[in-house]
Amino acid sequence: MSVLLSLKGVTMRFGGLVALNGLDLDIQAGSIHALIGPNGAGKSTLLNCLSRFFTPQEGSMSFKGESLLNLQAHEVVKVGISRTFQNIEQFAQLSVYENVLVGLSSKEERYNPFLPGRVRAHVQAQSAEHAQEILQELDLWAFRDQPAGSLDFGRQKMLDFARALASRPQLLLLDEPAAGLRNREIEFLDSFLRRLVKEQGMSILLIEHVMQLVMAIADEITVLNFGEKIAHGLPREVQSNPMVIEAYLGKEVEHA
Amino acid sequence: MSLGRQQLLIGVILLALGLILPALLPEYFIYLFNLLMMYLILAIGLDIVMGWSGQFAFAHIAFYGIGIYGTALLHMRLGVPFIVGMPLAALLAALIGYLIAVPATKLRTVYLALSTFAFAQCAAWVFRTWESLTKGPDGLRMTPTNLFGFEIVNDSQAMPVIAVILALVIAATLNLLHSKLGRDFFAVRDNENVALASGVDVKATKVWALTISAFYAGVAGGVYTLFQSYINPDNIDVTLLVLILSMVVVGGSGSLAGVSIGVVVLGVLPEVLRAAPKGLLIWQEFVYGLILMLAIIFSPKGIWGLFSRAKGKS
Repeated sequence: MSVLLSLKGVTMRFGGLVALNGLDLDIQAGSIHALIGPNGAGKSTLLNCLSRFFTPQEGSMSFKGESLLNLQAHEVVKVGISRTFQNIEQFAQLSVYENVLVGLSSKEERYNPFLPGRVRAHVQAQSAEHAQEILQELDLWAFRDQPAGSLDFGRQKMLDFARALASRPQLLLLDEPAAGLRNREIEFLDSFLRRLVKEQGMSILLIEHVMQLVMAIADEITVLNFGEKIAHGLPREVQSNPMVIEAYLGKEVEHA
Repeated sequence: MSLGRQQLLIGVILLALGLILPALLPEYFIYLFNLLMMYLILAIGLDIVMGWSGQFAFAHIAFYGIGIYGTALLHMRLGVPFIVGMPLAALLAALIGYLIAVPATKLRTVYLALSTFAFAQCAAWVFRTWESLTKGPDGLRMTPTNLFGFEIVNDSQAMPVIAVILALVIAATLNLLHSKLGRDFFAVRDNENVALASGVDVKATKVWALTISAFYAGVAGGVYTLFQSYINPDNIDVTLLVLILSMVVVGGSGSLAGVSIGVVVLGVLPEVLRAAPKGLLIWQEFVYGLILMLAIIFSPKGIWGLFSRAKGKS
C-alpha cells in the first residue's frame, strides 16, 4: 500500500485556542481511516484544513505528493478530494438531481453558457447519466425533482453523500455520516463504504461517533483529544488503549 | 419541448406581437408595451444577481444609466449606429460592473447592498454634474435612433425592434439558466461552503453574476433610447430601483415566469388605478402600496410561487 495523504506537524490555532497541535497522519491508498475523539478534539477542524476552508499556521499536507496548501477551497475537489458535511447542508432550493449535478460539474468541460450547441448537449448527457447512476445507487432517484430541503433527515444525508461522490473522488472525507441515522441506514452505510473501497479503490477518512460502524469497517484508527493524537492503530488496539478509554469516559471508569 | 424550440417559439411570438400590435392598438398602449419590455430586461438582470445568485447588489440603475447615456451619446456625438452603439454601451456597463464586482463581492448581505448602492449614487451624481457630456440636470434631448437607414421616430416603429431584443435576452437567459454557470449561481445562493466543496469558484461566480447583470441593465438602457426622446437624470434613481426590485419580489424571484408576471402586474397596475374614478385618484399610491404589502405577506415566493404551489398540490 502507498500513502495517499500525508500530514506532518499540522497546527491550527484560533486566537489562544490550539485546535490542532502538531498532528501527523498518513492515509493509505484504498483504506478506511477513522478519526475519533471526544467533541472539540479537532476532528472537524482537520477536515476543514484538508478541504482548505482553513489554513493551518504550521505543518504540511500533501496529497499524492502535491501540497494541498497551494490550492484554494474550490480546487481541492479537482485534485480528487471530496467531502461531506456534519450538519445538513445542501443547496436546499435546488432539486435533488441538480444538487448532484453541481457535485459533478467540476468534471464538466467549460463551454459558453450563452450559446446552444452540441458540445453542451454532449456534456449534459454524460452528466445526466452519471447523476442518475449515483442517485439510483443511494435510493434517491424517486425524489430527483423535489427540492433538496424537503427530504427527510436520512435522505438529506444520503444526498450530501451523492453530491460528494459525483466528482468521483480518490479520497472521500466524511464528517459524521452516521450521526442521527437509523440502524437500517447505518447498515447500508457500512456495506456501501466497503463497496466504494473494494470496487472503486477509494480511500476514506471517516470522522464518526457511532463506534459500531467505526470498529466494523475501519482499517486504521487515529484518536484525537484536545488537538493531539493520543492513539493510533488497528481497531482492536485502539479499543483497549487506556488513554482512549480515559479520554472518552473520563475518571468515571475507575469507579464503574 | 427542447430548449431550442422554446427559444424559437418565444422569439416568434414576440416578433409577431411587435409587428401586429402597433397596427391594432393606440400609440399609448404601444408605449406601455415598450416600457414593460424594457422593465423586463432590467428585472431579469436584477434577478440574475439577486434571485439566482443571492447577492444583494444594488448598483443596477447605474448600469442602466450607463447604457442610456452610452448608447445616446455614441449615436449623437460620434454617429455610431444603434446596432453597434447599444452593444458597446452594454459592454461598457458590464466592464464597469466587473470592476465594481471584484472588490464588492468580498462583502456580504447588507454591506454589499450599501456599497453597491453608494456606487449607484455616485453614478447618478456623475450623470447630473458632467454637463459637457450629459447636459446635466437639464436633461439630454436625443436625436431619433437610426436603424439600417430607417429612423425610429415613434413607439410603433420601436416596438418590433424592442421585441427582437427582448427575445434575444430571454433566449440568452434560458441558455444561462441551463448552463453550468447558471447552476453555480443557484448553488452559491443556497450554500457557499457546499459550493466551494463541490468545486464551484464562489468568488468568480459572484463576479460573473454581477457582470452579466450589469450587461443586461446596459441593454435595457439602450432600449430606452429606442422609444424615448429625452433623458432626465432624475429618473435614473432609487425610485426606479425600488420599482424593479418590487417587480422581481412580487412576481417571484429566481424564475423567469415569476419576474415576467411581476413586471406586468406592477407595470400595468398604476395605469389601471389611474383610470379609476376621479375621487379615488388620491388612493392610487395607497392601493399600490397595499397590493405590494399583501403580495409579500401572503406569497413570500411571489405570485409565481403561488401558482407552482397550487400546481404541486393538484
